[in-house]
Amino acid sequence: MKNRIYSKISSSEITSEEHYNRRREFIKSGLILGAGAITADSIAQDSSTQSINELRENLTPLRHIANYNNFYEFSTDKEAVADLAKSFNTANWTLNVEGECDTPKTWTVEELIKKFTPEERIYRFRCVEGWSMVIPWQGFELGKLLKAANPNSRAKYVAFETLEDSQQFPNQAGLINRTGIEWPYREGLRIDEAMHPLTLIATGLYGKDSLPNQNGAPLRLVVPWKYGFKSIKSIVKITFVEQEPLITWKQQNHQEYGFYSNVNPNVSHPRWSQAKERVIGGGFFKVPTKIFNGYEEEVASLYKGMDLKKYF
Amino acid sequence: MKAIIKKAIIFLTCLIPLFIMIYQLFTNQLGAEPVIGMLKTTGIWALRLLIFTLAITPLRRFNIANLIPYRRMIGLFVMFYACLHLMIYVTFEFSFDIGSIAEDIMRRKFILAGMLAFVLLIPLTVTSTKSMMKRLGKKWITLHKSIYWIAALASLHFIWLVKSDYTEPTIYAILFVLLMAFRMKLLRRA
Repeated sequence: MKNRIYSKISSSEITSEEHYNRRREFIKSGLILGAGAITADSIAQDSSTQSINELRENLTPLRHIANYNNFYEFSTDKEAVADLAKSFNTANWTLNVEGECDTPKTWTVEELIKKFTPEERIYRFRCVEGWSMVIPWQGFELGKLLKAANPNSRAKYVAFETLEDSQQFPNQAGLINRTGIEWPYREGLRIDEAMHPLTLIATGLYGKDSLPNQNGAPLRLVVPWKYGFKSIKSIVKITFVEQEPLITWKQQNHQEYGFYSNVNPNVSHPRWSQAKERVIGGGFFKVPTKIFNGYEEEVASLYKGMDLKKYF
Repeated sequence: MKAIIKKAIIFLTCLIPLFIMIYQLFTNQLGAEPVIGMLKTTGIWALRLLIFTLAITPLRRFNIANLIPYRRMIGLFVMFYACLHLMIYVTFEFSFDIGSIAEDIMRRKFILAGMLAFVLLIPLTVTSTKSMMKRLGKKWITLHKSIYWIAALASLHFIWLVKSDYTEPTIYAILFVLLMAFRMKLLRRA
């Protein structure tokens, strides 16, 4: 894996987008350019520096990142989530890593952050609904955490679970489940996808050390070459398993959502054309979607010989 | 109140959702995806007004209100919002790319339902004038009964586009079914 796809800028106690942008100006002035290139762009003719700058120039404003959220435990209305998530309590959060591994462990968020120092990763984010953002995450590679558990040879897949808590999630309380989703929300990756250096556990964004609740605090998966629903929020459990786990949206509608859900403009979805996307905060018209969300160079080899129309 | 004033009030009332939408658009209140916001507003008001036109007969029947004189105008507002809805879709979702739109219609049943509803609205719009009513006579009534199919298609359009939570489209579908049940009963009595 080439080093150039990562951002290695360490985070500081920067809190606002304005501060963040000021730092960006500072960075752009040249100080950082030598310190390990940052890009997630696979356009061959782009020099890495150009690509970093391109993504940096096009960061989605924080107000959109933090106010346009698919988090069905709170609401199916993307613009209602932020408000409902205000009082979400993430104190004393623990993450269980278990299943087919030699050293299962229950981690606290503090332990994770101490052990696997978060770094900045600027990734494109493409939702299956046809919109996209560019998000400066703070996080660490999932692979590092997984390796610490010493998975055994039966660990072919990794399954993830979001918190289930009817006290905290309005859509998990009450008699009628309007979402139709069987809680908890579940996701999964093949072990090689999970170990891929692009795959991140996000712990913050825009230079902050913690995530806004509505973005999946305190621990959220980010798999930038897959549709956004794969990037499961508020994770409490990671399990190594032998069989492909049944993920929530596939269970909900297996004709529309597959296990892989790689961003692919050539595989149409019954509800939304995937050929194009609307960039949030970036104008009214749609722009073409790239295969693997622009990370083809980094991840295409994972799917060599697979029929991507069949394994969608 | 004079009929003309009443008509003017209803006319302006029907325009309120559009004015609010335009205001929100220019004050950045349509959220992260203004295009989706505009599609939702124009779509939901086309459907609401359509359901409302179907409620006008029962409203009179139960002596609640007689809005028959304004039904045509409200019906034309259904077409007005449906046109805006379609224009936004064609412009911003597909940048006028006819090939992609055709593909979208073939691939997605909710788009097909919406398109059919729109196409069926065209003859009703064209024949909405008094002279057309006279010219078509009894055929006019038969033709305009297609509004029931249009309402069914519009309801399906809404149900099929939803990803999970079906609450809102279900409410409109129930209203439609109730209004249809009322008509069936009326027919049987006659």
